[in-house]
Formats: sequence, structure tokens, C-alpha cells
Amino acid sequence: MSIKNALDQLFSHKSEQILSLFCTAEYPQKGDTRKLLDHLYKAEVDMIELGIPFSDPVADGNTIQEANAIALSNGANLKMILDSLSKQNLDSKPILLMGYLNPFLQYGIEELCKRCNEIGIAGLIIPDLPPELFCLKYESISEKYGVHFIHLISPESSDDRIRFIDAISTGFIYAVSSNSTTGNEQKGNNQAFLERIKASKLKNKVLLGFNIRNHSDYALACQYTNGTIIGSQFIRHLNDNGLSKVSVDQFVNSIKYAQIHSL
Amino acid sequence: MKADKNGFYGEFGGAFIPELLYKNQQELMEAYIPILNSASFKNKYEQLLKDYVGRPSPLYFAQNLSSHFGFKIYLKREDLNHTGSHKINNSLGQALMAKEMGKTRIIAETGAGQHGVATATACALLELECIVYMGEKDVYRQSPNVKRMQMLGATVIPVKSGSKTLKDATNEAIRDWINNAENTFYIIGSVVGNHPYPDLVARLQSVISKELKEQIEDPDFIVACIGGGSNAMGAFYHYIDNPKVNLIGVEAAGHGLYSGKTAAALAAGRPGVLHGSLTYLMQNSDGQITEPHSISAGLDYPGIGPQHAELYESGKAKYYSVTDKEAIQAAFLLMSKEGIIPALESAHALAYLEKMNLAPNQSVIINLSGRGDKDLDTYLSHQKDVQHEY
Ligand SMILES: Cc1ncc(COP(=O)(O)O)c(C=O)c1O
Repeated sequence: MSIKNALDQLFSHKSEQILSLFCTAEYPQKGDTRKLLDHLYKAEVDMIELGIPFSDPVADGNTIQEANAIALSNGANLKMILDSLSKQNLDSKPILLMGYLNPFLQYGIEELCKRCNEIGIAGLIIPDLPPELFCLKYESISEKYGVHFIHLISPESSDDRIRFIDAISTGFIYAVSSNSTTGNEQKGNNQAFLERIKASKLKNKVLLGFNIRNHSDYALACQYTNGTIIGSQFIRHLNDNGLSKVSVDQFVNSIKYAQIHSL
Repeated sequence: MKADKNGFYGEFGGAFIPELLYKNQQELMEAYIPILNSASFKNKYEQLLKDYVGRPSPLYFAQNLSSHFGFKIYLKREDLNHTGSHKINNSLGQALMAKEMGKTRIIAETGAGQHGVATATACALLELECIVYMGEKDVYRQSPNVKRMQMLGATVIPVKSGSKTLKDATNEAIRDWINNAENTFYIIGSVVGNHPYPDLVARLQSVISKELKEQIEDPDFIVACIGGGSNAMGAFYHYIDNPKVNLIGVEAAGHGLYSGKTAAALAAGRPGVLHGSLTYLMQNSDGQITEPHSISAGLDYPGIGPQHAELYESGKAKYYSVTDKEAIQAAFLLMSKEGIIPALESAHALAYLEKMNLAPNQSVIINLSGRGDKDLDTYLSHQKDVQHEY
């Protein structure tokens, strides 16, 4: 029997200015998952999302597509990532796995949730698993093993839809900042959507993700939601600056505290 | 074949899409049946099929080929349609639908380029902007079709990711759709994708079997090639619950089912989720989609439409595969016996004739899904080997 879900623990004492960073597992080098986690444990980050690579990441832009391809060429697969996580002492910071449905499906959703519970993984984010199918097939598994399935909402989601997703969600709701694939530099924060989220007074925490690039995006999102998730911009930073403690800290500081930010 | 309310055929199908596409999918779900049944759509669509596409397409009794094999062979001449394949039946229907729904921008994926050409044609006719995604490898091996699309005013975007073929073109089209959900209609080229696309495309292609029923008494066999499976669904549609007619889908075995270079999703795959539906897919044990191979760009896809997955499971249709080489030989046989140059895709259906052992009074319809103008370079490069073997 595992300890209390790390996500629930986090939210029990913190619900503002949450920062979650996303990076593809086994990237840029084979074996880097461990390094990445070590640096993130020590950084001022509240939550960690580990991307499980997939051959056909249709909701992702170039940066994460490339990271997926490189991780796969490094030999990454779900089983090996879970094995390596189970050998580490996971910190109290919640870790979530984010990936496309098929690799999870082939592993077996129940088997996966059981394993997540044993290892201490707090939840799963599966963009191509619609909430209706979650309710139909996996809700009871999620409850049984205490693994949160995180659902997405987007500016295209109607108010009714958002209320439905809030009703079936546990953990938090992942709000996608604009109608786009990840890391789309043409699209930015959608103020009207942020206001709609705030006005909805949802029972779940809401984190804003997709296309968050700098301190001002982060600060704005934090006024309306419980925090943000940053993926592509973090990976671009790692691509330019390498995966080291200094580099990770530098990125986190630039998001949380930057006095000056680029226009 | 009816999908349940979640879009499943048995265990296959569904709508495995990110929330970003939910609104679009709902919009289409609510609109497509009423539009298909509306008098204004029907009038326009049927008129265009008749005067613009040239339907009904003939059912041709292939005398010489029949003598060669010793049983009755008919060809359903989809190759004679405007733009040269069955794809136009679908593209015109979906483009009319997009217009009804107020969408101004059309995107499509294409493998052989036939769906791209058909969509570019429909968009020119209906004055819609058209963007076609095509794998870089296919841009090269089907270059006549790239030029046709460009002449018709479409923008062709070569896709450089993955295997640079149809699967990757589809990924890129879905990404475009996510980024432009508000004004864009995605015209999918086969009975694949999220619900309701398989149903929509099957209904639009069902004109093939609707005509067959008027052209001939129940045949013993209907044979069609399978990429995603749209020409096959069209040819099977009105015969699915008719036990007298044997339905046969022919997948592309590539170099052979066990060669690691194949595109036969039913024979070499297992169920999984790709491009919005649960269906048979070629994949490794980790659920990564494996790169398909077929000499035919239109069949070079790692999956198959969910309706076929269900027909396969239920046994209502049977599925076989033929290799690149068998398809090439069948194409040359048709050229020499009947004076018809088939598309490489359709040549896979023709190649199945070699595996049939029928009595002289039995009849087979081959759905000749397209013509081979686009494949001349490939045929020419194999001319020597084939002549050698005759
Ligand atoms: C002539 C022709 N036949 C068949 C196909 C395969 O598609 P489907 O299986 O959807 O009919 C294609 C696809 O490009 C094609 O061009």
C-alpha cells in the first residue's frame, strides 16, 4: 500500500503559483530521466511531468515532437521508464506521466495504474483519452489505485463542457491556453478564457499549460488559475543550455522572478 | 454498419481526440446526417456525381481476363471517374458539407495523391482554400499528382517527419486542424480517423455498391484493395448483410508479411489507438507505431478503418494480402489483356485473382479504384523484371 497521493499532499498546503515543468523522459540522452528528476527536486518547482514518448504525437509542435523522436531513438519505452522510476527514491514532489493513449493501452491501463500506485506516481495526463471514455472504462481503476487522470479543457470548451469535466475530474484540470498544438509561438494567452475559468469557480484546481514562455505569461496565468505547466519552452532551454543544475535553476528563476522579460 | 452512440463498431472506432478538437467533432456529429439527408445537399451532390464525375461508373465485363482465369471477372470502373479514382466521391461530398457548415479553409492528407487531387478539384470547383499534406517520400514517388494539385490551386506541404508517408501526412493534417479549429474543415481521405469520419466517408463511397446493385445480380465475390479501406467500404456497403456475396479486402503485404516491410495492418498488427480511433495497427510491443512499407503510396499506412476491423472480427468480410511483386505482375497482366493501366493500389485487388479457384459460372467484381497514370515511373522501372517472368 502506498502513501497518500503526492498531488493531494501538494494541494493540501499550496494552491497558488504552482509551477510544473514538463520534459520528455530519457531526453536528451539515454538515462537522463534520473538527472532531470534530481535537478527538479532541488529546484523551486512544485510538480513534475514526465513525457512518455510516442511515435505519433499529434497534439505536439516541433519541439516536443523532436524530443519524442530522440527519446525513442535513445531506446526509451514505458516499461523501462517505469523500471527506472521504481529504482529511485521518489521525492515528495508529485510526478505525473503525460503521454498518448496507445503505449499506455498496450501496457494495460490497470497494470499501469497498479504500478503507478506502487512507485508513487500521482497521475496520468493522456490528451487523446476523452473524458467520456475515461468514465466508461477507467474511472473505477483510477479510484482503486489512487491515480488521478487529468483532463484537459480549452478555449473551445463550452461552459457546460467545463462543468462536466470539473465534475468528473480529480487531481486538477489542465487548461490549454489557446487552440493550438504545444509550443506554438504564434499563439499566446487567451485572456477571455482565463476570465471564463476564474468565473466558473471550479471545484478542482486549474493549471494553465501550452505556450507559456516567460515570467509575464506565468504571472498572468497565476492571477486567474492555480499555476502553470511549462513544456516546450523548458525543453528549448535545455536544448540551448544543457541539462544541469545551473541550467534548470536558471530557467526556473527566469520564470518565477524575472524582472526583465523579452517582449 | 452502424456505430454505437460513442462511435464504436463492436470494440473498434470511437473518437480518441484531444479536447481541442471536441467542439469540431461535435459540430460534425450533429451536422453530417441532417446535411446528407437534406434535399439541397442531395440534389447538388447527385448532380455533380453525374455530370462532373461521370457516374454511374461502368461495370465492365473483362472478357480476356475472364478467359485467362477461367471465371467471370467484372471491373467496377472507378478509374474512369473525373480525377481518376474513387476518392472524388468522398472529396466532393465533404467539400459540399464544409461549405454548408460555413467553413472556409480545407485541409487534407494524401498518400498516392489521388485524395489530394480530388480534394484540390472539389475546392477549386467550390471556391475553397485547400492545403494538402503529403509525405516527402510520396511527393517524390507520386510527383504527377503533386503537379496536378498545384495546377488546381492547392498548396502542397511536404511532410518530413517519421516515415515521410501517409501516416505522417495525417499527423500533420491533425496538427493543422488543432491549430485552426475555428475555420478549418478536415477532409479525411479514407474510412479512418475519429467518429464520425469512418461513417461519413463510408456513406459517401457507398454510391459504388448502390450502382453495383443496379448493374448486376448478386456476384459471388467482391474484391477491393485496402489502404484505409474507403473504396472497399464503398464496394461492400450494400452487400454487408448479404450472405450470398463474399467480400474480400486485400491488404498490401509489401515485401511479405514477415519481412518487417509490410503495410498489412490486419495480418501483421493488433488493436491500438491512432489518428482518433481504436483499430488494428502495426506497432511494436511498447505501442509505438511501426513504419509501414508498400510499393503503393495509397496503401502505405500502418492502420485500417475501424469498420474493417469489425468486419474482420465478425467474419463478415475476409482479408488477404498480396506482395509488391504480385501487385506489379497483376498490373501488367491487366495492361496486356485489357488495355487498362490500373493504379498500383487497385493492382493489389487484381493480384488476388491469382489466388482464386472458381468455377466458370462464378463471378468476381474487382473494384478498380483508380487509374495508373501516376504510377508510370514505377511500372517502367519494373518492366524488365516482369517481361522476364512471362
Ligand atoms: C486508386 C486508389 N485506390 C485505393 C486507395 C486506398 O485507399 P482506400 O483504402 O481508402 O480506398 C488509394 C489511396 O490513395 C488510391 O489512390
